[in-house]
Amino acid sequence: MADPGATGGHARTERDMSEHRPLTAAELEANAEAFARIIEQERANDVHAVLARVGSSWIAVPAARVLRVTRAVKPHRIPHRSHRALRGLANIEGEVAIVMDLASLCGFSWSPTGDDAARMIVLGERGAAWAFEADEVPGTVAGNAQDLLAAPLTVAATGAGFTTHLMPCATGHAGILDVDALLAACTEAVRS
Amino acid sequence: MSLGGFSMFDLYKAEAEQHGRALSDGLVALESATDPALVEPLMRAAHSIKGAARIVGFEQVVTLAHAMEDCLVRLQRGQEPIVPARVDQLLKGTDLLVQSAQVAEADVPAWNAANAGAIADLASQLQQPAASIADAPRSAADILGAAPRGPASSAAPASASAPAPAPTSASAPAPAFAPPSTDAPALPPASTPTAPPIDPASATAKAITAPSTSGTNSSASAKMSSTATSSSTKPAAAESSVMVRSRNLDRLMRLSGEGMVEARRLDAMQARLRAIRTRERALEDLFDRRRQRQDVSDLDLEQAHAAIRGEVALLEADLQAHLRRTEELSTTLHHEAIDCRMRPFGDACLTIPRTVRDLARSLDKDAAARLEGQSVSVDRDILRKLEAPLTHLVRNALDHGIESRAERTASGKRAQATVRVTAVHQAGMLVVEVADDGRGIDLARLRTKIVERNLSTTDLVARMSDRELTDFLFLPGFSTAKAVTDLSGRGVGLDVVQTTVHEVGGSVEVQTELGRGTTFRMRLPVTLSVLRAAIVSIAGEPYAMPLARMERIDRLDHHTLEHVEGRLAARVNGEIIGLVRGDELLGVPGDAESGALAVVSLRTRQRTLGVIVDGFLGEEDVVVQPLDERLGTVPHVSSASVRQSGELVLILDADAMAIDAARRLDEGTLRGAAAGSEDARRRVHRVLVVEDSLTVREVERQMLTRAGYQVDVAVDGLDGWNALQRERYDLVLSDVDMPRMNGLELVRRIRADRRLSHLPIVMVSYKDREEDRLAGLEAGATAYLTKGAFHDRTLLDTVADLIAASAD
Repeated sequence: MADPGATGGHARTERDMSEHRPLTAAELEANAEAFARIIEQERANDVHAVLARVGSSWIAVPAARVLRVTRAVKPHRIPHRSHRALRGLANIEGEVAIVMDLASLCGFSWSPTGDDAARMIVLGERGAAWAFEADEVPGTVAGNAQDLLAAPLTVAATGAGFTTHLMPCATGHAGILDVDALLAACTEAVRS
Repeated sequence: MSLGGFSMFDLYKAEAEQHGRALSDGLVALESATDPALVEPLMRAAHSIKGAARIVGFEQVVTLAHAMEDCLVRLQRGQEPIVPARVDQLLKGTDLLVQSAQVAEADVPAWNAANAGAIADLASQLQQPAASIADAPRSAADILGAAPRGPASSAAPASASAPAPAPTSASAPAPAFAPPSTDAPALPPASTPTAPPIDPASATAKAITAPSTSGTNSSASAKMSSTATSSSTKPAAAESSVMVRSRNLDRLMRLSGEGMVEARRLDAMQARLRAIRTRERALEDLFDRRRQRQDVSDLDLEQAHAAIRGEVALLEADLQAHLRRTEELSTTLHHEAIDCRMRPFGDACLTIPRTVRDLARSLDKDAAARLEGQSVSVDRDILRKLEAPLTHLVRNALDHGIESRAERTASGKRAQATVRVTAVHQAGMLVVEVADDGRGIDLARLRTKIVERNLSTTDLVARMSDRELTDFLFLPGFSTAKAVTDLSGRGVGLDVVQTTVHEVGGSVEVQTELGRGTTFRMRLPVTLSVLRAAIVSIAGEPYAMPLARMERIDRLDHHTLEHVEGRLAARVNGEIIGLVRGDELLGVPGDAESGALAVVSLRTRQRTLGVIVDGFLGEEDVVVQPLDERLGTVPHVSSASVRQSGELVLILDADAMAIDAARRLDEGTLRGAAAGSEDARRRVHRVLVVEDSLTVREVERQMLTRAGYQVDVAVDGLDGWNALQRERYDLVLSDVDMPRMNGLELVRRIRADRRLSHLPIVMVSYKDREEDRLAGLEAGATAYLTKGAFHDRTLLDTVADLIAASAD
């Protein structure tokens, strides 16, 4: 939508600033709108994710779905439940969460190192949280949707994985996790 | 009309319940004391109910309460004597009043219609002169209507076996209404039938005497059931409310206030932290200036540093005080919150004196209830569940336990029997007993019965302990009564008692002495939200076992192990019990190699089973958290909890484990722990005893050898040191004072040796002063015991623990 007023307002701002004239309320509003539009546009294309390493794979978990990241604790196994993906239960900041094995859900073998860098990523909802162990969670990563790559055929075609796209990160590429599909698989796994 | 959230009708209900209870208790007391002075509070109670009923338009209640009040006035003035039959009538009236308090407001017209006939009858009987009342005991069927299983289940036997009372005169027993069913008041309104529970037996009786009344009655009840259906579609009270003692609430308020004050102290600490930051910056400035060769003296730096140190010390003190207070406060708050869930035990006993009185009269026996520990606090959920088993046990005592007057007198007992109901807190558990001084259970007859029922063989029952025998009483359908009476002896009940008690995590047992009486003892958790549990390690992970459900835990000594057909068995408490591996039973393969071995004994229906666990980690109060619903049912696990250390622990259902283990052993899907593998797993541990006294040395050697250790001895420190150079040991037990090289020197040498530095050392000495102990520990001893430790298991337990810990 063309809005010459906004640009005009912006231009006038620079000039007026040099004249040390306080802005009028209308000018302020027009400026705010113009900035908001730009930020919104950028945000729509942004991908924010929590970066985690599981074995040698880097995984990007959409940040909006992450409840919290905590220090890793050894999960307590659950009697009579032998599903490979179900690691057990753990106390995560006072709440008992089900701990799942991301690697075995994705179909690769891995065992947590359990060293100081190890973390738990907690997903889902409060009171019904799922926790996943990772060897390290160095921080978040942001990128533009245009820079995403399709998941390689070996991952996407098998149907077992949960990677929708790959996003560039400092160490190469991280697989963006389809959280809904992952949690559905978790629900399935704890029932069996 | 609404008053502070309560409708007028709610207030009526509260009043009718309260005064109804006063009437019921007072009437029972009145009968035994026959003192007109006791009547006055009863008159007031009836009067109050009348007034309240008039306000809400409960006209039948007004009529009834009025008639009762009139009658009570005559009793008080001494115009007529206090006779049991009159008390019966008044109690019937009271039952109706109490029932009326259970009726939903919408169902009042229906209730009025349904009870008009009965109330008119009762009112007219209450006006009859006392002389015309036949003092006949009430039929057992009258009372049976209050059986815990509800009127529906008792309908068939009652109407079939109890003949309708012969309709002789107007003074014949009035249609009996069920006394308040013991569990009915506890039910939430939504599940309580809005129609009053009419005793089916008496309804039958009425049908014979007055068909017309019965017609209106049945149509009324049909109407009522339709109103019941319509009212059940109304949204029930969405949130349940509970009564909390005002004292509790006050304390909670005070504690939460203190919590707020405590939280505000953090502001002050933050201010102090800011001050430290400022001083730190000043110090940094000084350093900068010094680096720039400006004039900064050491003294300047020291002063700046001292200022920071002073502030840090203050902050530290503040923080420590805050931590201590917060911890105290949160603990108190937690206890107070739990206390809010508590009700006095007496709340579960309200109907007992009445039940005992009514039943005794109907059975032509003489018995009185004695209640003890009424003020003992019990979790309200447990209390609610306790009512039905309690009433059942009381009925059971009266029907089976207590003899007739004649029988009692003949055997030299007091004619009046006592049913004692007591509650005490014992070792963190609530222990409730129902004891009678009746005839006791004939164990010989019980044995015959068990064999007759093909539940066991003659050989086996002959060898069974009393407890094993009485456990059969709790089997579904097992009854020892010679004849099935209307009251009990139908084999339903004791198993229900056991099931209910088990549901809340308790246990029940019987003690009996022929001719002297029987005691049923229920052990229940004090609260459902906190459990006292033993923490055991299975396959390297912690599990909590509620103490209430566990027989015992034993640390396994080698000499108590036996091999039966290649399977391990242990001698525990004089019994050889089979052992299964805990990790195998729970399906969590164990990989943790543990030196120590502990056995948790669980009771299956008749036998004890030992479950091998890695070790016993201690006893703790655990706060119960329900298991995540997403997991569905997890066999053997009832709930989860977080330990004080923050570690998650799963709470095991010991009963389910025992039952399941017995079943799987039967099916062959679970095998007893194999003897060979167990031995391999448990390498024999070697202990070196260093002691110069021959006697003490010999005592220690024998104790340890008996406990399954391989023991070598050394006569002094140097001898011991030499032995350590030659052989490998798992633990050293050493005296302190010895010639050539004393114990402290030996310990220091061991600790200095890289190869031996981790070897557990227990010092044993007669010296029991604190400084001696410290000297030993400072030298490097792992534990310091005085020689008194020989007298109990301290020494052996310490040795086992230390070897286990070093193996981990």
